[in-house]
Amino acid sequence: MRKNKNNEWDKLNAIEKHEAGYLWDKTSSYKSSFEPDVDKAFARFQKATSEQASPAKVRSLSRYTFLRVAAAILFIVGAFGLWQHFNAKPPTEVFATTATPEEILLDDGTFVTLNKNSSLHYPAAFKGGKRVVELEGEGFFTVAKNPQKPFIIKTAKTQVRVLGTVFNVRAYRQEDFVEVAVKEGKVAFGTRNSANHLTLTADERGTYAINANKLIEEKSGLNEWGWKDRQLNFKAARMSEIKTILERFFGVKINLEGTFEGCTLTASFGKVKTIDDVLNGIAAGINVSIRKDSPNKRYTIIGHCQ
Amino acid sequence: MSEDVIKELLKTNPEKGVEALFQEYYAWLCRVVYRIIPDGAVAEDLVQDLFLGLWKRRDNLEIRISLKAYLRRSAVNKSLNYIRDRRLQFEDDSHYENVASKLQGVEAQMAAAEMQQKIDRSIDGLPERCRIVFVLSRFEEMSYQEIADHLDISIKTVENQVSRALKQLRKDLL
Repeated sequence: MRKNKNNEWDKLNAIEKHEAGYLWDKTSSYKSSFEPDVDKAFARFQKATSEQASPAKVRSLSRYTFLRVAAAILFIVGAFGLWQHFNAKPPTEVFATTATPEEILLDDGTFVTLNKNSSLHYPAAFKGGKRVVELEGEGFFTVAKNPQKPFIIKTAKTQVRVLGTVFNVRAYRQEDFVEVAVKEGKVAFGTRNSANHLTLTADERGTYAINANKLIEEKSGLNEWGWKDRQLNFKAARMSEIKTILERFFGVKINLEGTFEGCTLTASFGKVKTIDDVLNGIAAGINVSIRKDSPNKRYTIIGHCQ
Repeated sequence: MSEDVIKELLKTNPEKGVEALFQEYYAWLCRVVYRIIPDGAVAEDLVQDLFLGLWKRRDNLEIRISLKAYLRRSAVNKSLNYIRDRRLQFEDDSHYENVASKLQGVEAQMAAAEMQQKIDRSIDGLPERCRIVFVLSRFEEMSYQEIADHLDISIKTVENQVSRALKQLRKDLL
């Protein structure tokens, strides 16, 4: 007899061990005779994927697909002053990453890509009038649209409140800022204990400077969610900007030496693996050279621009 | 084909990878869903939908946990969302009898082994809520707490439903 992971059956077994064991084994074949036609199903799958409008093919189910990203018209409901009331039940499950990003599908269909060294606390099932999770580190959220149940992400100091949209949250403990960058839709971003907040829409970024206790709104442009797809895009970027982006992306230190006047870079890097690849690409594109100092994680870009 | 080979294939050759994934797991996932929602067409639709979702995200799909566990959990979540969204609220226990008897007609034609039928019939004969609670506990290795959360019922109810199911099974199968 196979043991169940949870103890519930074991409890029962204590009462009627023999019988329960027998039933456990017997029932293992429940509905095992159901044999779908795999080839037919795969043909259907291929048809659906070959047609661009594939979501329509499964229209009866499309509202269950977690990738059905919300349309952009969203609005913020309720006053931020009421946030204190949102500290309902503590989230129960923890999902943590170490060296590599991982994906997690929440109960409501919300999809989260969790960057490395991050953790997400969430309930097995969202109950009550809102969906609350806690984040430490960085995550890219595709929140399932549900205007009746706002989705709230708490970090140590801030919270982000949305109804259904796509955005990136960066809140690493060792950094002195929390940052929210919006890809689609609209989110409200503020501190946990005050009504102050920013309303951010597509291509906007909000930064909370923890020590200064200040919320700052800017245009996004730091490749905020580039880590998710390992992509970097530069549009007429100045070297100081490139330095910031690469330092964030790879968690390294970069020094700048020489002159960069008049040097800007427009380039896209896909499937980025190492910083060396990117730096070599940059050196091939504009008039700079690269020095890698040992120990690793220390790079110098030397500019020869006039 | 092993899990790791499929994972690798999904990266290097997604077309081939997804086909391997289909061959390996499609039928199994359908059975996982079918145990929860005893409607073959719905089960296949939901699993189809699961694969389409994976396919759309293929470029940035990083599954570090066991592929099988990931797929199974996704399938169970889909099933439970489906039930919830369809408002199968289990208010009326007798409602299920119709589905069960309809189903038995189909199953009978399949000429499965006698005992197999007996087991299926016994479980299918349980009231809807009772059956789903039992399936989640027995097959999906969910704790009573998890089941209670997912179905929005109390732990006490979950306990009652499991012992009710076992009582019936004992009667039918022992």
